[in-house]
Amino acid sequence: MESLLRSEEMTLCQMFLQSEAAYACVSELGELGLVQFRDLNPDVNAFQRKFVNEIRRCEEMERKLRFLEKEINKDGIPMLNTGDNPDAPVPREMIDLEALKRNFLELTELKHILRKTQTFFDEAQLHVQASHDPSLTEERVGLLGDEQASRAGQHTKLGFVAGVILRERIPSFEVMLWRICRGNVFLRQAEIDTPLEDPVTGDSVHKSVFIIFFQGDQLKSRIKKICEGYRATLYPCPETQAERREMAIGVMTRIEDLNTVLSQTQDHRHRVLVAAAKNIKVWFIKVRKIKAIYHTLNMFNLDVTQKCLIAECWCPVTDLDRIQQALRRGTERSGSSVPSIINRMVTRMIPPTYNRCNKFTQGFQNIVDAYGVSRYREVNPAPFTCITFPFLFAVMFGDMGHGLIMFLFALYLVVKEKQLESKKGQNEIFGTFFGGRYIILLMGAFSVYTGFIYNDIFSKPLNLFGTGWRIPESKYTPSVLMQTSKFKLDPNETFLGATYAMGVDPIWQLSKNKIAFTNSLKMKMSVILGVSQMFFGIALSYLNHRHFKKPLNIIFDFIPMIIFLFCMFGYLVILIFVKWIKYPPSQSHIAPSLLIGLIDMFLFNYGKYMPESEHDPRKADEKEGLQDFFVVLAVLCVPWMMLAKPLFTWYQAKYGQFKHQPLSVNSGDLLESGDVVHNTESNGPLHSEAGVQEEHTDLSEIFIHQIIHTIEFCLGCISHTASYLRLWALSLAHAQLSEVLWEMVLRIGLRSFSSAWGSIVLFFIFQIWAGLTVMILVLMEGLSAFLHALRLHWVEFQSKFYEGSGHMFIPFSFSHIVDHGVEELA
Amino acid sequence: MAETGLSFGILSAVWAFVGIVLPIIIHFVMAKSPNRGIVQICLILTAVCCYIFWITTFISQLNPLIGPELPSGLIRMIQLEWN
Repeated sequence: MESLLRSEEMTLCQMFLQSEAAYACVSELGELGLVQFRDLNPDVNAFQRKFVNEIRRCEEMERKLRFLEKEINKDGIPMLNTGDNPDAPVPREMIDLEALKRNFLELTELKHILRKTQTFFDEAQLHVQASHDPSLTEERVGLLGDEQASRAGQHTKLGFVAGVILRERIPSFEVMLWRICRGNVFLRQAEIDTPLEDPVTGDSVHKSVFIIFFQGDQLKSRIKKICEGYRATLYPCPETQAERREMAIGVMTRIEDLNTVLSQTQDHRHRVLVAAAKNIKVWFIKVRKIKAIYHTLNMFNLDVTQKCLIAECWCPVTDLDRIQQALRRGTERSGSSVPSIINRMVTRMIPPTYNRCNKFTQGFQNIVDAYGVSRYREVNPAPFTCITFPFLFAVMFGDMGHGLIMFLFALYLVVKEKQLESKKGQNEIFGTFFGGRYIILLMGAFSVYTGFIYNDIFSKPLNLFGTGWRIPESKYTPSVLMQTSKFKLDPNETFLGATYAMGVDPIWQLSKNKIAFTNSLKMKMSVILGVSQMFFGIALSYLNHRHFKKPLNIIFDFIPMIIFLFCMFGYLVILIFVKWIKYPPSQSHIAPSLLIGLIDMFLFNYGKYMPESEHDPRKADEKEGLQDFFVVLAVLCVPWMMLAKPLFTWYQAKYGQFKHQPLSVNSGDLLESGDVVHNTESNGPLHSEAGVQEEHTDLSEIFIHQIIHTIEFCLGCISHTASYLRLWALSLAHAQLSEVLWEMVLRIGLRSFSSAWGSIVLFFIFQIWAGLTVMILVLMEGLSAFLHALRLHWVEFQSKFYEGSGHMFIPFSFSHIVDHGVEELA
Repeated sequence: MAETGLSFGILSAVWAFVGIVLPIIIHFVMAKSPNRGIVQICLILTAVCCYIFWITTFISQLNPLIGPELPSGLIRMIQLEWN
């Protein structure tokens, strides 16, 4: 049980690795996932580290792999995810991988070039076709073919340019031409019907052919500039029709050739992609592993002889053997003759906290760590949270039907664990639910139990054991019943003493004043559960004091805390039970009020305030004496907690009679005698860094700390006990919501319509009811109860004993890196 | 009254079994498993929590100080069906 009650014992180790063996050893350690390396070169810039080139190559390869992945996705080829875990490959394999990548990149670039050329030819061909437009031809023939007229005139020598432009740009193109050339050009355009493919984006765009007639060279240059600006592509266009036809035929031939080449390249590319798709996931994993190994190698120090690397790491003591074996495997794999050495170091640094969890406890450990990672070797609340958290959730959620829905959902997730494991990375919300499947499973199971005790299944009670209330026919005859619409039953006459065996009597659900009874029950239940959990928390603090060997704290912290809590709220719990047991229904009119009694106890106010109840003078005396004693004792605890420890420490320091007991946190554990040093070389403590805490013997510090602690605890006692009343509040809200849904929604469908019509109405109303139940009651209320139960644990329970000032143990582990990607250089 | 004592006895025995006897059995059955401690903690805590919950509800109904307020038609139905 030591495994989860406290965090593991950690040790700082030093490793000496041969340069050739370093890569293989780190790879083995990454597979093992049990060591956390410390960065020995913190001041070195990321770009000046030793293995920067290898990391660059890895990143380059990753970029290519990502491009490949994008292309594969674009083509819609499914990628195989076998869940393989290949080992990190030797550097030689990387080179092969790079060659393949290069080959593929060239192919893709060729494909793009071909496509672009194709577009040009398409445009050219259509352009030529458009200029076969009869009206255009006539004009051309008219304008240019009429050589006699032109020779005669000699001043109407027209030039022309022809090209293709995006259809959307034509209007502004025209306007620009008109303005710049001052109306001295003539534009003629025709639309291309078939959309062409833009080579870069792959979209299809509509283009138009245009032809511009002008006179003079200046205009020509202006027109060319405008065309460039509008990204219109210009084409040479032969003047005579015969030449144009020849050109068209030539272009067609070339287009067909290009198409063939293009389709063949496409095929080839597709085949390459399919082959790559099989392995791409594996390649990704390999590249990530290589990168991780080089990042780690960057953290090592190089020895003076330049022959071996020195590493420092944190690792759990119990796993030192496995780490040794991993190092041996790595050394063998790399074929190096010199073995790697690992030996423990003694240090005053605070080790990281490592809690070894299995898949069940991991979820609970996560929610505990979310508030604060436990100090090194203090009591870990997670194993207790495994049960108390779902239980407190269930107290707030208490409904058998909703609990069953939650339980079945979580059961599905748990049973289908292996198949769903791969999907958890895709959708973040699903990943959250999947990670907490065991938590939800327990929450659902406990909710079924508390729902059974609250006797509430979708707001309806069950009558399994027979109700304890008997309504006598003699008193409540039908004629009496006809007179008034409702009756309040007197427990004296109608309760026969056979308490309902498990849970709340079903008659309460049918009554109008159900809330009066359940309020009383749930509030008292909340106080009882809250006080119990707080006592438990203080008891755990005793375990902490004992482990860190601080007997002072036991006398000056633990005992007054227990006495204070008991005198105030432990006594209240006892009173609750006494009142329940002692006052039978016949005495219901004189049963004392607990709340008033508690207030009176603190005000020392006896006998002056008498409601309809009368105190038995004898009982009043006994209780008065006892209660006075409790109040006085509780008040005495306050200065005990506040002053005793500082005064005692001051006394010790002044007179120095007893051995000075260390008050700082971390000295006890780390200087424990280390075990066998694992190899021949032994080094003393090499590093003592600024992370070490000095021991504070300053009296004022202790004094202030104690005052804060006392005030926090005393005020916290009261406020936390009241805070536990949220158990009542949320369960009331849940029950009421559930009842509202039933009364207002489902009952409409169950009313007496004619049977055929009614069944259809019921069908639809049930869907509405079921949808609202799941969305509001299960999901929303579930989330709300989850958060409140979490807060109760984090604040009310853990403040009694938990410090939570540690840092997590993050081992160098490939499984973690492959899932989440490599973090960047620190 | 006898029924009250009977239900009290049976349920206390059940939770005592879950919370005391089962962990002892587990102590020997799972002697080698690393999860033995967690299983024992879970069993004990479950028994404690569930027992507190049940017994609070039970004792609160032993001597009810107020009675339910029912409409008359319902009282007639209860007399016929449940009594």
